Amino acid sequence: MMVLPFLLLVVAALLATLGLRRASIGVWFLAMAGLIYMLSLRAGDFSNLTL
Amino acid sequence: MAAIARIISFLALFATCAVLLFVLYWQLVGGEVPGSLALMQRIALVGIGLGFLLNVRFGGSESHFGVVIVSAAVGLVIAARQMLAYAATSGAAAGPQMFEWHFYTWSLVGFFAAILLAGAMLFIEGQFVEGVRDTRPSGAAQASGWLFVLVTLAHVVSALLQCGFEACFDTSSGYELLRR
Repeated sequence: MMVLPFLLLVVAALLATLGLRRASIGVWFLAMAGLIYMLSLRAGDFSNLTL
Repeated sequence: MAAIARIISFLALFATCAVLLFVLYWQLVGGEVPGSLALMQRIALVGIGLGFLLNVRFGGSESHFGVVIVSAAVGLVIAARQMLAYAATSGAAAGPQMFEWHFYTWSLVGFFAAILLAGAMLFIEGQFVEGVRDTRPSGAAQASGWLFVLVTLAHVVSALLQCGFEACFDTSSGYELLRR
């Protein structure tokens, strides 16, 4: 789950490097949505504070 | 003015790559396994780098700065969440320090600086006159793009070894995938 936004951003960076600008921004949107979802899962959890 | 904006974007992209490489170095040499919030901050940092990469590759566009600002805002919230978590519980901060500040404090300052930089660069209106160009990129733009892809890929491998495809909320066990 945590790897998914990372993977999506690699795809977005690849698309940008290959010249596919709109697709890159679209994949970035998905990655940010995934990241915010991951954050929402931890928003109220103060029990696990590992770095 | 467009050339200045492009140079600043280049420098910001290289700074992002340098920070990503530094935290990877610290993780591998210092033996510091990142927690879930630290991983999320790295994802936000990669988002910032992507925004600057788009600027370098295609020229200045408002949406590219949107990518930077939204990524940095999400990263700032995550870094603040980590700081507040320490303040709300024991008050005793943990983790590595650099120049007497913890990494998440530097992270908070860095994300704020990225928002300020992107906001300030929006005032360079000359870069928007040319518009987005989908012509053949310069060698430097192409090289910086591949460098960014490789650095991000290294972080993906690290996160994969650590978390597999799990949510990765308990990172105390180190590299989960290597134990199997």
